[in-house]
Amino acid sequence: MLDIQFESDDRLTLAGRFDASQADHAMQVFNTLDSSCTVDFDGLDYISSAGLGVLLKTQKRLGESGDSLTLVNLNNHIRDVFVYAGFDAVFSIE
Amino acid sequence: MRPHEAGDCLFDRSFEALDAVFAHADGFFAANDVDSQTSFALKLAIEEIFTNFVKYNPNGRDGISVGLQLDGGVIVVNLIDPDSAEFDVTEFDKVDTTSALDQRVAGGLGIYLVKKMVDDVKYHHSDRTSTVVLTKKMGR
Repeated sequence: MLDIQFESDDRLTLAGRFDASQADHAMQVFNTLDSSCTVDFDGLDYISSAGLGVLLKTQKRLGESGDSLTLVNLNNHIRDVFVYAGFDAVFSIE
Repeated sequence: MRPHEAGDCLFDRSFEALDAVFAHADGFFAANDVDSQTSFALKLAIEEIFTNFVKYNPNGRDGISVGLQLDGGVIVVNLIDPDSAEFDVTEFDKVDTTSALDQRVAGGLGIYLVKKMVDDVKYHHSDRTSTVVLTKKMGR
């Protein structure tokens, strides 16, 4: 299960598991973003290519207007996935 | 069942079955004290293969089975689609991980990641049955 909470207009938190069964719902939530946003991974245990796809589509959409996602508090396993995928070059990761 | 095996379990042919698939794998990992790096890598690999079976053969009869076993520090995972045409999902790994954002696509990333996360991936097809075998040494 994936939990997505807005802490403010420009910061949301992810918790749980971001897998293929959660991608459609997550896409709906991320589609509501219309400006730069910080995504806090502190409670996120796992992500697969389905989750990466949601983030990539959002980053591309926001990029058209000069905005972007900033990703924070990734655990080491998730950070490895981002590096393997080359996503560390297309996201600001703190 | 011996603790170092999680015998083949049959799961619905749907993304919604992933909760049960992960529970099956987590039970095996806990029973065998599998480290978090290995379990994370294998869960990702299992999800990617399972969801590719679902995506490319949604109308197959019966479910998809997942079995895990530990043999001498090596974990072997078998994923079996019992009603499928020959279609090697492991070939779909052509992905550019260096291009600019506007040229990136998510497609193909899953199998690419599988091959990064485990030591070996094999596909076999016989009698309408597709089998993918994942192998990973613990702690690596």
